[in-house]
Amino acid sequence: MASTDVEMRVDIDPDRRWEDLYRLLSRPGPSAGPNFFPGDETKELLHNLIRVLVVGAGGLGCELLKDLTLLGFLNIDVIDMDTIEVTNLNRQFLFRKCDVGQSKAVVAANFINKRVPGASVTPHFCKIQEKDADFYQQFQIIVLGLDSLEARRWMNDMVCSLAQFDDDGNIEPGTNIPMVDGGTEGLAGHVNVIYPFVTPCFECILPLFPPQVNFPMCTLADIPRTPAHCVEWAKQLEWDRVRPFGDDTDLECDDPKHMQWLYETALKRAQQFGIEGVTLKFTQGVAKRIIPAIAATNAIVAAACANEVLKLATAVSRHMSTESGGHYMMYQGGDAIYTNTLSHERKDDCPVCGRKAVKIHVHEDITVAQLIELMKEDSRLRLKNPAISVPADTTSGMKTIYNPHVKSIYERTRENLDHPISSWIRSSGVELTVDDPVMATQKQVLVMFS
Amino acid sequence: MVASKANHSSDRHVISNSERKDRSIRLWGERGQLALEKGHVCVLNATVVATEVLKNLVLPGVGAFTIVDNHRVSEIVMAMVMVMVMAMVMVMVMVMVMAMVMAMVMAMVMVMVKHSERDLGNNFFVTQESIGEPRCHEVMKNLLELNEEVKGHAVNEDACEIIMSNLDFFNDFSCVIVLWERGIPLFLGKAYGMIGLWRNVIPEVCIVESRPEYAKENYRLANPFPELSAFVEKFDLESCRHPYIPLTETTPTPFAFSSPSPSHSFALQALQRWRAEHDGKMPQTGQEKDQFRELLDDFQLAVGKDEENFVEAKALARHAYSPFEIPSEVKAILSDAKAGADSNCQDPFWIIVRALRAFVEGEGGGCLPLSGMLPDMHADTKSYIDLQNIYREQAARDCSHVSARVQQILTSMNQRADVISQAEISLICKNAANIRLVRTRSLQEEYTSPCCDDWGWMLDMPEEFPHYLYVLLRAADRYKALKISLNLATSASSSGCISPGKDPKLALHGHALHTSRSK
Ligand SMILES: [Zn+2]
Repeated sequence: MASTDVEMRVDIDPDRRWEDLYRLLSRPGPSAGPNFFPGDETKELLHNLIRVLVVGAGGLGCELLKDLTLLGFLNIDVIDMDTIEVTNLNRQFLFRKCDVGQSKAVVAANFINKRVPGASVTPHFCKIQEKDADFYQQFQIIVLGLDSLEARRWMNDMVCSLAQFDDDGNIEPGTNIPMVDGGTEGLAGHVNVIYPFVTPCFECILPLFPPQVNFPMCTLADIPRTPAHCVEWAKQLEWDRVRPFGDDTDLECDDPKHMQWLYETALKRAQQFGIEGVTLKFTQGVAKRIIPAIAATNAIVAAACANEVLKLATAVSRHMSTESGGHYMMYQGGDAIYTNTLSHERKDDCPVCGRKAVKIHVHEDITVAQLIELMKEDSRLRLKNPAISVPADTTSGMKTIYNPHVKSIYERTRENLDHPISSWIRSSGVELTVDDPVMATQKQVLVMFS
Repeated sequence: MVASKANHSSDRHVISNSERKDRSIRLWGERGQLALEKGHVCVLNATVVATEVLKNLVLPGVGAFTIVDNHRVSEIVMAMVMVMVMAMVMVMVMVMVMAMVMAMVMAMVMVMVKHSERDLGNNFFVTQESIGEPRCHEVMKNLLELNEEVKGHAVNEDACEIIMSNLDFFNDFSCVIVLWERGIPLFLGKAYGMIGLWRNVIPEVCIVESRPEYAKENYRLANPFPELSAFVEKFDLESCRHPYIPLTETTPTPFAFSSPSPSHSFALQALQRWRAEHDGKMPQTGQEKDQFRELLDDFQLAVGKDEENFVEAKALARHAYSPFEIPSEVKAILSDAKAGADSNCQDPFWIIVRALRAFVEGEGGGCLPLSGMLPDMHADTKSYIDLQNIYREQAARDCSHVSARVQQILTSMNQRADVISQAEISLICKNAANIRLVRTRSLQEEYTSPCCDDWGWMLDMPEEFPHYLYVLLRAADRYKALKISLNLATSASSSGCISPGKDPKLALHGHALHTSRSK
């Protein structure tokens, strides 16, 4: 921690640049929460004591780092696994052409540290999954500037798992780290303040983000009508049939050669069926599921997030919550501007903050593969690729039924897929332990036979 | 390098460096990008708010910007910004710039937590080395780093001398009036503590490609054109004969649903049968509409399957029996004085709208031109493509009618036939059901409106009337104006900034995000 260093740098700051901010933080006001202490303590808290984690150094991340450091949050960590691409430059203003190919987190941190005197931004160029609970525990506030549902779900589960409870089931104060989740898509966006086990967690409101609807296979295979059908056919069916770059080469949408093959293959099919509109750009859009993104929407959403962080940190004003009129702000900038701040309910059977096993009802005869399919489709679970195990008389107390994540175990367990689940579960009411890439921790699933 | 001054040979302008612009173009299209690249935005006062607006315009590639500001970095200035969009482009494309600026603006309204600024603590686009330098140059330099295609101009002059400084006397605001009269949109933004205000002052903006999330479309099911009827006839619903699938041993029912028929054919045929049984009338009462849906159920039963295309056909039923209503926004445009038969408005947009109106009243039989778009539906490839072509061909016929009307109007105005291109006409025809018009009040009207004096009561009911904020911000302006005119102290703490600590009403707003639109 570079806190002494930061203090020094703040002290030699010649220009009293925080004066406007201090005007907000120095005086009591009727909008402040009961925990607001106007004066030096709060300033000290902001500049030197609070450590904020910004997850994602993309469109939202760049804006967040700018806004947060200008709000006086000088100790920030930023984590992002991505490198800079040319297509980022229309909005990610901390990056220049010469930075293409470098780590977003590193370049963004360097830029901020150079531009904002006293700022100490620490970059982490890695996947969020590579960091453990000890890492995430260091922060007082976590801001999510992510574009992927999966990463959000993982972060949500990780942060919720950090909360600790006393014997009466009450949260140990300070162990539930508040999260501010921002998201944008074109001209629309949202800001959601999550206080684990107090407000609904991200998993509780997952139905607001319905899964992508896929085209029916028979349409792709036999009766394509639109250019998108042709691209999806090339991607989902023709690639696996032809394997144009060798049997071991999987489709990599970021590889221009692969994209060119997809485009040509889709174009040929479109011509064969008399369908118009397949271009390279269109193919990229469909295959990579590109979402339009501009600076302005990111600026709006990130700004709202940053203000929530300030309120959470200092209590200078009430943050978005159920009590203050809503914890979830939606923003629609498409047709003029519409925003609304609302509240959702916590879900009793939330697999993350419900604190109990999710109950699923199945027929006794189903196979392991069918059970896995059910867990993927279940609207509460929406798992991606679960590994499952049952309590057993082994040294670990568990026996793996199926695990696709570790190659050696996968080889050993994949034949189990076709076996009935009843080979492992003798009676109704057994708790399976599930490991899935969208979750940071293991989940319990209670299997009931019907 | 993109030319900052737009000229009318727009077709020559080619989007360069398109990979960088990919994510923006996917939002507003190539024409939107071109419009932006022809735009020239002027800001008065390089405040944080203005700088944020410019950042969000420079990144996607606005043609040029001009900053008028005579402060040195770190001085204290009025937190008022004015943004003028001097987009000398065809009205019909200019829209996109507008839409965007409007979006961007919100950005700053929310972004900025502070008002009278110490630049370094607030403005990301000045640096420590900037202190003491002319702010317009510093901000310009740091913004231009973001996009080498953009041109920037800095004018180190007092914006307040260019426009007069007193917000409360806008009738003296000759500059504002000039802008209004020339049709140049003006945007005003302010930020105080946790509150912001944004005001669009738009004499008129016509939006052709409004890109709505759910585009309105008329499929003319209630009044099919001959080619559509002929297409539908080919599907023999009585015997469930699909026209493109020969009856063979392997396809015992021709509706073997590997080759489903488009939902349009069901909906239309059901409608035709219904009308044949009801003296040619459409289903009108609720009961009749239910009967009509039951008819579709019968067709479905005949096939004996719960098929996707029947589900779609039932969803289409409403379109089939209710004659298409021209959307109210479009109706308002068509009935605007500028679209009247005696209008002499020479603007290409309005000439085309006049032609559109003549088409609706004439050949269109009450309908707007078709867009030629057909949504995907459950059907075999050939049926779908054929139906798509039928709609496209009709759209082309509609458009040529509108073109002929445009030529008539141009002749009557003694204008050359080529002042309006076919491309412009096609674009409006294609978007006819979704064109939009934006006109706001002028600032003069706003500031001379007599009702202002009675608004104080709103302050007592902030929950019901979020406009109380507007009242407070107007009061703050007046207070500031009073102080300026009395030549009071202008130290940092008394520069007219109302901080949350001072005013309980303003502070109230910090409770939660709360926004409101007013007409
Ligand atoms: Zn939850």
